[in-house]
Amino acid sequence: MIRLALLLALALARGAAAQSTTTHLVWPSYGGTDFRYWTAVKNELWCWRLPTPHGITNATKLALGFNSRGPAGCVAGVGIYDDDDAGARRAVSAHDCTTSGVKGTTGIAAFSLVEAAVYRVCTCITYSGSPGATTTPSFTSIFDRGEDFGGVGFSKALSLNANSARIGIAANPCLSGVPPTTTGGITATDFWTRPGSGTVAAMPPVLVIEP
Amino acid sequence: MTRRLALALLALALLLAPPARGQPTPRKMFLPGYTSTAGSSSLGASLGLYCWTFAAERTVTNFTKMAGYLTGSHASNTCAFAVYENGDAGAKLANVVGSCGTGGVLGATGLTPFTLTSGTLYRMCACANAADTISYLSVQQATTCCQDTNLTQMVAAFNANMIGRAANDCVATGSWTPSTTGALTAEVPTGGFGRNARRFPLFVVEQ
Repeated sequence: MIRLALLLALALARGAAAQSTTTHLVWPSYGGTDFRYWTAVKNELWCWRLPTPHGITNATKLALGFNSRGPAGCVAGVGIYDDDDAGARRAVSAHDCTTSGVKGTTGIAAFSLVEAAVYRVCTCITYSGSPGATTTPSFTSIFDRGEDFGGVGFSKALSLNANSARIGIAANPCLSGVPPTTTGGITATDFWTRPGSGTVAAMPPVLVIEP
Repeated sequence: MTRRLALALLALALLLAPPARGQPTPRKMFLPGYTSTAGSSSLGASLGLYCWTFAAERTVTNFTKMAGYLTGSHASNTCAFAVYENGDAGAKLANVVGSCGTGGVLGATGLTPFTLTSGTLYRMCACANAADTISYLSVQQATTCCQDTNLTQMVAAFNANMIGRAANDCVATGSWTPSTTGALTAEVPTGGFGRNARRFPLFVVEQ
């Protein structure tokens, strides 16, 4: 009887490990339409709190895209953090933004993400510019019709931060384009009001992550 | 005593065990994912099989229906969509073939039930017996200024061959699509304003 109960307990416990993982994470999902946003306040760390659609184990590659380029020396940093002001930095990468296009970084310290857990996805650049200028980098992001409706789009709704700071500027800035080890507190921010954000809403950048 | 201990263990296990997978199973799913805005893309060479690799967003069992959508009318031509297991020799899971003579839904019911597993990679593929003119509903690249990068390009960031033309072409008979894709040769759409070439097609699959 005890053996039977133990076996049953083990079988039930195995359910806890039933987690969806992938070897190719597009985050925050496929989005449907690509767009862009500008972040143009030097070394300011902008964060989005996002759940993962799948887990991924021992990722070492991370890509993002640029729809427009920055000036010579432009570096964009990406940090992925546990969702806490002192949360661990799971991943950090730096990407050349002197040219547009898909920019992948390989060989980053292996990290893992858990399905449906919320993380802070944060970006920064080493440059302050004017949105739309040929030397202001813009990230490939998911689409927001806000531009067509005076700024009242999906990102605007998120940035209202009705329940908690879902989108905002981290207390800890980047250093030369390298995201800090922790974000510190997130100040709920309507990115539309930030210098450099112009008329384009700040939607989460699309990341591609692989082992 | 042993019986009580066993029952206690069982009760503890029941208390601690999570619900099986904890997710409701949808009966319908959009591939490659739910999209906010759709666009239109075109296929290339006649009978060329073009494929896109994606990770299933959820686990869904026993799909028997599948549909794509043609965004133009192409009389006297035939179009086909298929979903394959990822891999050059991956099995074909589902297929729909029909006339491209009228735009709109190109779907099939009564398919052999197939299952997609959350996080697992698959290939969605399409072909037609017309060069460059067949268009289908796809994920969109915003048609505003200055888009130098698109999502389809990003998917192939580390492996260009995740999107491209398959080694095995369609044949103008039967289900049209081949039983396996063979290797994919990268053919990633370019960025830039107004480009509409070969982005992810949108499929709907249902139980």
